[in-house]
Amino acid sequence: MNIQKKFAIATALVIVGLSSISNSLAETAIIVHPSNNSTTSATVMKRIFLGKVKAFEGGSAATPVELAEGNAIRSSFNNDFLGKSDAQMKSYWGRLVFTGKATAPLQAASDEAMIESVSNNPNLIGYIDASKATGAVKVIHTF
Amino acid sequence: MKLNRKIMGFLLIASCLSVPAQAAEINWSGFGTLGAGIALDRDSVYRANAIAGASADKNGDLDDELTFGAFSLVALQANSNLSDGLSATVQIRASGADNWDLEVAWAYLSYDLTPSMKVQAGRKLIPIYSYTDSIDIGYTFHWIRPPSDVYFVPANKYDGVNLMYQNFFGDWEVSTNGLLGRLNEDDDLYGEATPARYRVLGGSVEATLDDWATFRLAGFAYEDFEFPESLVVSTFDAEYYGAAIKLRPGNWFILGEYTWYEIDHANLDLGGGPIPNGKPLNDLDSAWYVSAAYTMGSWTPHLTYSAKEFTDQGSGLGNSVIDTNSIIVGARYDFHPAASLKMEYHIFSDDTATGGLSTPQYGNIDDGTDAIQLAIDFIF
Repeated sequence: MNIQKKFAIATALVIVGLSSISNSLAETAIIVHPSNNSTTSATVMKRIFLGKVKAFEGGSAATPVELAEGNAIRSSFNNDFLGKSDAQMKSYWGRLVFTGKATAPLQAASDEAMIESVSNNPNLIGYIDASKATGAVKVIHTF
Repeated sequence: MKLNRKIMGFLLIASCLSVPAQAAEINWSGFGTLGAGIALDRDSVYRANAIAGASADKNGDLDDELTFGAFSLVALQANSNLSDGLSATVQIRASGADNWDLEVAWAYLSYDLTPSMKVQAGRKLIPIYSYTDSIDIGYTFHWIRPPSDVYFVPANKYDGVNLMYQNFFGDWEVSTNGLLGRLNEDDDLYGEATPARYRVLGGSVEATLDDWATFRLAGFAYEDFEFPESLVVSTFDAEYYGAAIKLRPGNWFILGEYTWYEIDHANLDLGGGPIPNGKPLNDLDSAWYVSAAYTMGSWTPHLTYSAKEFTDQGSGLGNSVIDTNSIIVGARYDFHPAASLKMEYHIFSDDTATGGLSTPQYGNIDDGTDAIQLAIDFIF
């Protein structure tokens, strides 16, 4: 491997590293349908995203939607809000899904797809990059 | 012939699933392990895969030649939500320890009675101990496989119904699972030559505090266990119990599990006529382990000690014990978002004796062996 190639790879790694830092600094917003008036606490939101609770506080059914793999917001949401690394989340869901205790959460391919899904279904709860939020959804928590 | 029949069975189930697929989509997922292992002592055998190692062909055991099949397997799961809380799931599995025969490992319908209660019916695994029903899903734990000294129970399948409940009480999450079923299978448990049949009922209770501490208790009763071992001339009843604690302070994961079982066997025959309330030689007082793992980024080094102990309770042979223990030193490396590499060194000691003479299990010539195991686990 020549010097230029090594330098190019090192530069690429630094850029990837920097972009993941800037992403982890971005705010994340948890969103629901605009008609959802429940006052669900962050603790219960966490339980909903872990498949442990299946209703909003107030009673209506709650179905979590997660961003697809590879999305930087997904990793920061798992780490900062749910307190689990991506590998720990995969282990957690794998154990539930392959032993009949739960079915895997729905997935949205992007922030835009997440807004589209949540704005069309009062039972869904998802998360997006807070700067992408629109009037079509209601932000109930940011961090 | 056997393989063809199993594939036909799977295709039949898959085609049944594809009928509702016109209304509901099928979610495919799966997992697997590619593993290699070797026992370091010449002419020694080590039971790396607790459940498969008990099969008649012993493909789950390691010997002094590098073995790739002992815990390698791949499983594919199809799940379809049929609406209104009803879902259907089929999981097929092929493992090296089972000559890569296709097997329907799980096939069940699940129905949500309430948001916190569901009823399920079909073929499932019995959650005897904490990892018994997830023992094939290597990606979900730090070991390559849970300690063999404890997880040797091969009677882990049933066809039947179960009721699951899960709810929060303050900061405590409580979940219970009760089941009732039977196994009536001619060619799976110990290979084709040794069918096994039983009825089973029992349940488990698990309580988790803030995702930080988990406590588990379980008990299962097997009735009319038909187990064609040469020593056993009639069916028997058995009860399996397990108690587990898991703690997750910071980056640590510390767990321990104590298990025991009792066999009520009225008719054990050692050749001199049936012995009333005699117990088969594999009846254990207890088996247990403690394990600690520490996660640093992608690396999780871990250390485990496990033991099983049996003292003679009426076999009539005198001075007979099963006494094994293992130390597992290993590490898990999450090198990919959906795959991990694991390496382990096992130190296995065997002080088993019959009638006062050393009779190590698994054909070891001395009192145990060391073993090296490597595996890649994946999930998708």
